[in-house]
Parts: sequence; C-alpha cells; structure tokens
Amino acid sequence: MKNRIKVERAIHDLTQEDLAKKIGVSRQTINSIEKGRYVPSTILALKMAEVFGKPVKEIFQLEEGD
Amino acid sequence: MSGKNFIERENQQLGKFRALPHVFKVIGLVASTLSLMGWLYVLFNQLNPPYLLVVFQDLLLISMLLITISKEKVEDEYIHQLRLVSFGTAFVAGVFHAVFQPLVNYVFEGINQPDPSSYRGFDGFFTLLIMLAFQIIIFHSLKRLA
Repeated sequence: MKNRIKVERAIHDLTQEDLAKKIGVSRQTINSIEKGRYVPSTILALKMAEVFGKPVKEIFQLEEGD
Repeated sequence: MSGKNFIERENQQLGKFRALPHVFKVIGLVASTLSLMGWLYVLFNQLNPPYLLVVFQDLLLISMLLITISKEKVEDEYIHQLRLVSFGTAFVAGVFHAVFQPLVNYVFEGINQPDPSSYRGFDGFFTLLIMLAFQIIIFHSLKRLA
C-alpha cells in the first residue's frame, strides 16, 4: 500500500512530530507508515484523513498485489 | 470463572497489553545493569556462598522482565505490533536455544571422546512445555471464538 502522507504533511506544513502529536502516536509510528513498513489501522488512517481534511482513499492507495 | 468466561474476557482484552507504567522501564534498566555487574563480579571472582550467583541471575531475569512488560513513553498500535513480534520471536528463539544448546555443548565438549552417557538435555523442560501449551491453547481458544 502506498501513501501520500509526506506530501500531505508538506502541504499542511507539519513535521512528523506535529502529526504524531495531533493523532496521539509516536514519531516512529508516522515514520514507519510513511516509509510503508507499517500499515495503520482504520482508526489511525481515519484520524490522519481528518487532520489532512481529505478522504482516506486519497491518502492511502492499494498497490498491485495488495 | 468458567473457561468460556475467561476466554471471552481475554478476547475482549485482545490487543490491549496491560503493561506496567513507563517508570518501571527505568527501574528495570538500572536494576538489570546492577544485577549484571554483580553477577559478573561473583562469577569471575568465584565468591561464596555459591547461591549468590543464582540470586544475581534471578535478579537479572526479573529486572529484564520489568523492562519487557513496561510501557513505552507513547504507547500506540505500532508499538503493540512490535511488542507482539518481539515476544513471538523471543519465544521461538528460546525454545530453539533450550533444545539445541545442550546438543551443541555436548558435541564441542565431547569432540575428542564422545560419551553418550554424559549428554544432559535442557533441565527447564516443564517451563517450556507450559509456555508452549499455554500459547497453543489460548491462541486456538481465542481463534475459535472470533
């Protein structure tokens, strides 16, 4: 699964730490999600979508093989 | 509490690791450092009484357990997943070590004159048996109720 978190963070001028604080997780968690090492739960994905003001499917997209 | 109630309760708590507060990680880290130093000191100086070595070994294990079951500063789902993976890996590695380490020792010690009667297996057999049995029973009980 690919994601646009890094792009969205840049648009909203948020650091990983800022985003982590907004949704109540650690910076390492944001970093792992951004790099594709960890797939977040629906709750976390929805929280991120809320912060960026966009639907979840605009932030996370399935890749071939998922 | 009946068996079914226990399983239902465990199922409800699935994913919620009831860990100790974060301060216990610091306590565990200090205690394990001191225990390790004490253990090495007793080991290399061959101090008496002999049970001192066992006391430091137990203290080391308990303090490491404190580190293992303490919360991180920020507890989230990623941390839960990492903990689950690390527990699983450690569990499997522990069983492998317990079973194969005596064999490796035997092969290297008896490389010149192998003596099958001197082979001693792992003496914590029942500890591992209980750990494995618990994992199998709890996993399959929870899966059946899912």
